[in-house]
Amino acid sequence: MEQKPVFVKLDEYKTIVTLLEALKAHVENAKQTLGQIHKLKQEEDVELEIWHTVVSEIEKRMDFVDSSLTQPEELE
Amino acid sequence: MAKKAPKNELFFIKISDPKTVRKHLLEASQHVVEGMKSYEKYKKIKAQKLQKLHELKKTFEEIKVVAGQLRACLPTIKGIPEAVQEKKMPHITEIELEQLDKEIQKLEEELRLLQ
Repeated sequence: MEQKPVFVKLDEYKTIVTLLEALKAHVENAKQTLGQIHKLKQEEDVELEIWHTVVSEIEKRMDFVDSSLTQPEELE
Repeated sequence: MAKKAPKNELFFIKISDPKTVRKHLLEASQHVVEGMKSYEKYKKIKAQKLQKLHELKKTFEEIKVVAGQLRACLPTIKGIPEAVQEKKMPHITEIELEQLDKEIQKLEEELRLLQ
């Protein structure tokens, strides 16, 4: 089916161009915000990793202390 | 005669290497404080992230409004039923997600008719 050309009135064309510019600006803004969110999410993940390490280190030391206190040397 | 309850007996345990035990305890305390510091940082980052998500939501709402205005400016093509043309959104009586789904379906129908 042959596509017929579409004509847009000049006044509306100006409005359309303005709206397109506004849309582009909003999309760009959204892209930037998404980038910032992604970066913050990565920072969150870094902190989570730190916690994993911290918990692991505490566990190691507590195991040592636990073994020292619960497996004492026998009294003579 | 009732038996007297035994007094609390005291037990002493010899710690063979008290220096190392104390060192481990202090290091563990150090790690606990580091963890707490990290948690405060995490809270701050999370608050910033929530703020950005809120901003993103607002931006998407603005995009939706402008896209609607743009579609309203563009001429309609013969053959597309009235029902598919953009209507003003009714006052919200349904869940927002369902409304968005319906709008997506309308747009897909419009695109299908254009092909």
